[in-house]
Amino acid sequence: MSFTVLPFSRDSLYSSLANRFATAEYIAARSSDFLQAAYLAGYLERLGAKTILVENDYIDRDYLTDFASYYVTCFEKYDSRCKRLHFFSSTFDTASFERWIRRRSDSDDLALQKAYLGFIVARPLPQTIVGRTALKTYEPDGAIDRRYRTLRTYEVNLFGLPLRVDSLAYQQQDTVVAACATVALWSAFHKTSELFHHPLLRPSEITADANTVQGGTRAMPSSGLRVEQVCAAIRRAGLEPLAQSVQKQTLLMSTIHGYLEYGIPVILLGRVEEFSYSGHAITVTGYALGAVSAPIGEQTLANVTSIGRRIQKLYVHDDNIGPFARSVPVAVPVNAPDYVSDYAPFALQAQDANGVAQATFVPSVFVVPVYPKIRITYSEAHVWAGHLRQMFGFAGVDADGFEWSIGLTSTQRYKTLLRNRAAASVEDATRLTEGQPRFMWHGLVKRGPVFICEFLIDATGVSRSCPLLSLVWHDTPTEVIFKSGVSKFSKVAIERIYSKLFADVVYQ
Amino acid sequence: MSSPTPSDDQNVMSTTSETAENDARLTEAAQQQIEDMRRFLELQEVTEENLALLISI
Repeated sequence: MSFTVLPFSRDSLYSSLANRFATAEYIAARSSDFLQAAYLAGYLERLGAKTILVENDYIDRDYLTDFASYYVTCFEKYDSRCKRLHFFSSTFDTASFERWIRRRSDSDDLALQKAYLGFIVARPLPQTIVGRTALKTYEPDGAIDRRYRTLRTYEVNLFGLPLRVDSLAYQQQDTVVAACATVALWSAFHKTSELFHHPLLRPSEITADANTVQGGTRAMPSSGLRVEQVCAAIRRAGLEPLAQSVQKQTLLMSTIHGYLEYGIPVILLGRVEEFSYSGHAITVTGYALGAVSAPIGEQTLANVTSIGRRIQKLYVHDDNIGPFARSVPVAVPVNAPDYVSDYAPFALQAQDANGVAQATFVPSVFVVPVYPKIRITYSEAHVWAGHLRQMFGFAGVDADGFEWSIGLTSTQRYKTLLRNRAAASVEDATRLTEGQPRFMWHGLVKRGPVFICEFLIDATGVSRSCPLLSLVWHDTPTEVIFKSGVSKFSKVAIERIYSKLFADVVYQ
Repeated sequence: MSSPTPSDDQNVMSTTSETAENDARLTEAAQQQIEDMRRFLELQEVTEENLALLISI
């Protein structure tokens, strides 16, 4: 039969993933070798999975490209076909499903769509069985403000039944055509290809692109990538790699927040304590925001208290664990070598679906694949926000309780946001019709629930010449204090210190 | 049009002097911050040690 319907359980998941190299019993017995399968079982339990539908003969384009690049030339006869496992939060059997696909009914289609949780491609490989995976994220929880900013919609056609799932693709490295850095890039490209319209590359293609820069070892079997190779793969995709070292002062959470606001995944490269601080890569897909500052996080720079300080955990695609894995900031391990502890502001402790601690990852470098016109970095935008913060202080504005949220946006998104505001002001209407850069950093300044002001920074410009475009006030008492305070300084002095453009904006 | 009185002149001089003092204060503090920020941005270059890191697990 071309498909199988099973009630969901850990055992039925393992049997659905199993192949001739790895039986369900083998997967269950060797959970340390199949961490991803165990994680997915827990994740799907929490999503409320009730039924698995297995497409028994599925051609997966990613696996097929990898198969053609490597497996087809092996002596062992690897299969070219996969299985695709679909998960539903409703209970049904084979007869019901056959009836649904033979006779179309809008209400049945809608019910299946409502119950659809996503899919996993099971590869016919000895150990690295988890292929392309797109699963729903957890529903909003009153206690946790989960923000998955990098999702895209995957269209699925199941025997003529159209289904959709909002996710970001994940897969396990196969350690042959793709090591962890390759699959971290592959996940990120799934979103950036939608944002910036570049071709969606397969893992073997990414590894080949990365190896246009020599890494000191052969391309395949891939034993890993170096930072320069990660950057090369991003350039070959038509994007630019923003790569920066992680230092004690690095605004890592704010940077992640800033790029994720536009949907761009951030790739973290670092070292794993449990593997003698060997190199590993993860893709940040979202974060959880708390009501107060996280106990461990980034420092404050230039008195700009960033929303990033409230990030309590990250959601990451970690190919050693699974998709949307929770990653909690913790202190750098005390046994870490100096070359780690001297730089890292914190470590990230990955958790399985049940919250059990897994490996401890210490970030060393972050890489953001950006469209070439996005030139001003988050850090540079933060520095200009720092200058604005300093002017607030000199003008007599009590800005100690302000929280600054700076996120990347585009002129289209920003104007849509303005139009969606309940009551567009005259100033808003003016900004709707004026020309703007394609990409901007949008800063929002708040004190608790009070919206103080917002500002725009030209992300396509030149940092030194002041890319600050505008400052719009939303709190009249603060605006009055600021304008009165600024008038105590000569505009010429502000021009001389910062720039003419900066003076024009603060004196408007 | 009335000409400025001695008292008006004193007020203008006082305001000018106060603005100059404010400008000097702002300049000093801002230059320190600009220098701090320049160092902060410089530190973000990917180090040789990190460039050599093999991402393999």
